[in-house]
Amino acid sequence: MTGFIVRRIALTVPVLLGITLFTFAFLKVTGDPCAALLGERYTPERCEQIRVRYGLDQPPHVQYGRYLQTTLGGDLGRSILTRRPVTSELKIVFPATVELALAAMLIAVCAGIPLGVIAAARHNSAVDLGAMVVALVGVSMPVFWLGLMLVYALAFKLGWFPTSGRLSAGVHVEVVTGLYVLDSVLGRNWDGFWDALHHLALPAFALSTIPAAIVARITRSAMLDVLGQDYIRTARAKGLGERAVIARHALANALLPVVTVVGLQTGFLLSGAVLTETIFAWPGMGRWIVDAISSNDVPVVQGGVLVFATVFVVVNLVVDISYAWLDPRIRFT
Amino acid sequence: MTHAPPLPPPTVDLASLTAAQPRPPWRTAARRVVRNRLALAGLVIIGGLVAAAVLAPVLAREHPNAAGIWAVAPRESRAAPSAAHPLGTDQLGRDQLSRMLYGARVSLVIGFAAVSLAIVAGTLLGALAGYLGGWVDTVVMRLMDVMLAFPSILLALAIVALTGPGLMNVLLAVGIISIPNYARIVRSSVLAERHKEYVDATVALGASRRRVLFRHVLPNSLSPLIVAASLGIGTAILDAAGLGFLGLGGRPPLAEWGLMLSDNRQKLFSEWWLVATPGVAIMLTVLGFNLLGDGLRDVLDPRLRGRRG
Repeated sequence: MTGFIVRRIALTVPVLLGITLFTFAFLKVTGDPCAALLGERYTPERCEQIRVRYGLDQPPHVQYGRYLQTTLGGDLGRSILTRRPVTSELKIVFPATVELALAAMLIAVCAGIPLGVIAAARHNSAVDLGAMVVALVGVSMPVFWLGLMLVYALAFKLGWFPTSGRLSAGVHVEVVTGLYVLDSVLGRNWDGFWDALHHLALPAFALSTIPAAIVARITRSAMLDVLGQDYIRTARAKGLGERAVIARHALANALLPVVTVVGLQTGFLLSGAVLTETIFAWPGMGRWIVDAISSNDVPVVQGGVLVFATVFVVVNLVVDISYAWLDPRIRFT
Repeated sequence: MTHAPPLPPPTVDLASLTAAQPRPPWRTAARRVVRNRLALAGLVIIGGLVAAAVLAPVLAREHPNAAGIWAVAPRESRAAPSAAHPLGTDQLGRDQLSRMLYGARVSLVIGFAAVSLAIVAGTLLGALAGYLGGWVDTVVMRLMDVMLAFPSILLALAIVALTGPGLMNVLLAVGIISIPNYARIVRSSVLAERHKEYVDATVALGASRRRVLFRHVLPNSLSPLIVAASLGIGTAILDAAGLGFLGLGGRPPLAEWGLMLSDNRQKLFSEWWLVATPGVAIMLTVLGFNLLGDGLRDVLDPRLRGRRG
């Protein structure tokens, strides 16, 4: 097992290096930072000074080395727009996205797995067909459209939920982790908890539809695979009820592929967060990057993309390792 | 053992001999697609959309940007749905239905073009990696891993941030982000085929590397590619609409569904249908390609055959 983990971690190193190379190239391609930094005070001499000061006169591989060094040291530069370090902005927007993504994943798993199990248990029935059509529609739905429809129906017409943001005006939550729902529980702030949960509900639901549909489809096909195997026939033959066969014997094995899919969906959740956060004015990383793109704030785009991609790679690593831990066949091949 | 009844004398029927030609495989596949209800539904949806896109100038009452002098009837902006404007008019008084019909052209072209680009590039890269092996394989596949390490919309966003907003750049971005998918599919089927005996036989007969690759090895990866392409067109349309919605695609007044959605977003609380309808169009289109892709997978992947009713 240790060998497997070490090998798997070693495999991610070139990928991580590739990501930094990409974000480094990104800065190079977006052009000369002189104009952005100097603005109206631009003169060729001042530009030359800046180039020397930031090492832009060095050959590319030296520059990349320096970039790697500062990045590994936790310095992602400063936002051109706000002049604040990118890392300190990240500390605010990152937890918001994590909270949204975790809530969406929770909803997706809680809805997707039962839906898949029921569809498989009643294979080829109307229930099965209905569940799979619902799942297909879920996969095909643009998340930004669903978000707007939810805002219209549930927030505007019925007034059940707020339309945007993370907290109502006047409600305060003591920040510990940056996940407001969790923080308010830690601080025993039940008003804050209720308010944060209310704000989280719609964006999390909108973001969860596609992963829920994918989880349901994978659960169904994994269950169908398992239900066709001999040991299930044995379990049935010894007189176990169908419920026990499914819950105790089939589900445990069928959940293995589901674990992988749940992990892979993290990438989707991060992508979807970009659109969902825009709709619900959720102050997370996705909206932060989109805003930075429209205002041409290169260090923010660069740092944000780097962090997004790194999180994705690390999550995939964790998924692979947990998969090997759950299924011994993986680690010995 | 019992005696078998004597066999009837063999008769040679020339007509039946010629008729007994094996049916070409694509016809078998086509027949199965039509029998698969979900795939058929997908085909019908896609067919309807293609018809709407091609016939848009005939079907639409007005030019997508008709307002002022081109208007058929006196303009009323943000009109509720009526006989004259079945889906109402937007804030500039343009007929929403006409714009939706023209929007089908943009989405379908982006979907097909982006996926074609990705398939051509992905097939070349995957085939080279799988067939040549060695360092080419390592370099290409590591590059693909790095691309897969970026959440798709994010990579597309980064590409559009580099190239600047625009429909063409969205098309490129959406195409580029799906290259790794196809490269992986082609590489794995090339690896699977490369050491089979028929390939050795072809090589022994003196066929060139290129001929072996393109005439013998690649056709075997065709069916997973077709399935991936059908599902991929849906994803590409969805991603492109998302980028359009974020304002990174075409500029107004282009009739593009994602852009129409964000243009009318401010009217959500008063004229909700202006926001609802382009979304329904996107969903239907993507659903069509997903249904077809699923159906094709059932048909083309023999391991799955018979699993569904």
